[in-house]
Amino acid sequence: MAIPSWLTPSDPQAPALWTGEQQWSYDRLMAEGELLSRVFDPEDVGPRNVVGILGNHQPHAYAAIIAAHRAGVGYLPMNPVNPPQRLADMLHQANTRLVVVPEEGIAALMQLLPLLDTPMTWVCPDVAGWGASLPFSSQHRFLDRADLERAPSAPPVRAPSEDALAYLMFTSGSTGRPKGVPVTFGNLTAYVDYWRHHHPIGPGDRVAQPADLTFDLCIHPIFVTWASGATLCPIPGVNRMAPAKFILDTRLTVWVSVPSVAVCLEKLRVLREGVFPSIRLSLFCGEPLPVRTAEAWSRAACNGRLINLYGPTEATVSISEYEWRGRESAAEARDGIVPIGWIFPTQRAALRDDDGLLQQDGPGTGELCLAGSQVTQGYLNHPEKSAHHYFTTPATGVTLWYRTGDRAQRREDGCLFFIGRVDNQIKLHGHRIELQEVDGAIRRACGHDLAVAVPWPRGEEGILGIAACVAGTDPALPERILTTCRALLPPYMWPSRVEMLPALPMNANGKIDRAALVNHLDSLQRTPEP
Amino acid sequence: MTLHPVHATILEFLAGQNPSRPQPPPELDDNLLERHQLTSLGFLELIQLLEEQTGVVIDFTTTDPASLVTLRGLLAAFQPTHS
Repeated sequence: MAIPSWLTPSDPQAPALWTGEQQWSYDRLMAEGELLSRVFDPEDVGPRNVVGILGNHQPHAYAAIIAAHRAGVGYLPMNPVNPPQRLADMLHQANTRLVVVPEEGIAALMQLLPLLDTPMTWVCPDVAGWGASLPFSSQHRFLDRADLERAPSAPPVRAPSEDALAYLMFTSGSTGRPKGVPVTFGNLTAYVDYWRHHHPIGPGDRVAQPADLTFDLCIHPIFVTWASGATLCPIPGVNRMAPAKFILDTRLTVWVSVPSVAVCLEKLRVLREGVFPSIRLSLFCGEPLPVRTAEAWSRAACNGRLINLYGPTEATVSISEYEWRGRESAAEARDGIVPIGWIFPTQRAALRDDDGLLQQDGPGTGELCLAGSQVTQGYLNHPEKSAHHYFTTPATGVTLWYRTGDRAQRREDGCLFFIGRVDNQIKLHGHRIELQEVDGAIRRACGHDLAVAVPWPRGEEGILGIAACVAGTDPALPERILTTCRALLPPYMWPSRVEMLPALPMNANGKIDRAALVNHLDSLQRTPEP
Repeated sequence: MTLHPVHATILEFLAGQNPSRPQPPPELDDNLLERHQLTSLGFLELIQLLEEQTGVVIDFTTTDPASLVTLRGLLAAFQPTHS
């Protein structure tokens, strides 16, 4: 394959990155990427050819992405706010010994070091020089900016192979450990090429990136933006809750987020007619888009198009689209939710019925299965889980399908509607969460299995949080549960409350009945206190 | 000393965020999100509650939300006489 389009900017002086505090041109971004890649030793990147990035929104986190790809290797995003134990597990699973650490990751690095028994190389481009203050153990190698500047220039950019790793994204795992989804350069290029050809943006566009680097929705703005010569605008943490001022100050032209952000702005009465005149394209992905929110957003961004996207991490960000067409769309929505639309013409979809039969055409209902150049090959180090979620069609034996776990309904014309899940996975503010993973942390704190996580509370827009429900009376347990969850899980998976109950309801199969617990919590909420 | 009603509402709201895990009241300049006393959803609810109580409406097209994540910032916005 050719050198990826995001590594060959047409105008080196154009702005590539605007963080609200710093602006980097493409020239600067590529130069910083070259500087970092000087020290990418093939032995350090390990057998999976992956570089860790312990950072989130600072410029050198983005330079590290460029550095990895210009060297033909993939990157592993590691959010510094995640528990050190989880970060250590991800490094272990990825089997890499090389991590780039922007300034925002240094504090997390200090907490991570005692958990690692493998010698690592830590590249810290924002540290001018460690000097005598180097506080670390000698088994690791620490490189600062001076070391990078002394190193010989990196070799020229080379074209990666199609099946080489482009990035490794960890998602919640039902076994209690995060599971890695390896996405190849072939997958990523197929995705970026689709967008460049079907919904082109270009120089002068300013594209929002509210998602963390560890959330695959960020992949769209980063790579589509850079492949198009536009400017990437990561939104600083606290602004993501109510980014109206950021949108106006930055004069964003392309918006990419989960619908939750629009729901928040709607509640804060921000979405007034024409309030975001600069936005010409809005993309929502990651959770169901309510009709009411689509209407409000399209009024606010009145000069632009609005597209609802659907797709799992395993199919590279998004794989179906539905363009909002006002009243016509509102009329064809189901249960107040905008359709997920049509599969990209370059990809394939089928519905799997209860007997395991695949229906590739016509109307029907079933588990949505996906195939095509965007679909990944399986999970990292999880052959059993891969065998469960990925399969080849017996007729040809060459088409690899991914089972999404999402139930969908297909109309005669191919338009898809999301119905629900076939398992205990939920979406909370766009984050994908396997409730069993939260169960594992809660049960570890309790020391018994009569404890589960349930999606509660719920609002009109969907799930608003997670509650831990535990059988027991120990008054110390809530504190222990929350502390354990904070030590093991990323913040978006933390229960917002703990409910202690005398016993947990069981279903006919003898399993804890989550639906009954949710109903019980709803009834408690409705009952006024005496 | 009696707390101003806005101050009292904020503290009561924070306490109600997780009744099973009481936390000490925040200092004026503590970041309520970083201390995990507020989630992003809780932040939204608190703003709505304070708007209802005081009649003050925050215009987020001109207000940086970062200015509202501390007790001091909230008091300044909803209790303008606070210094």
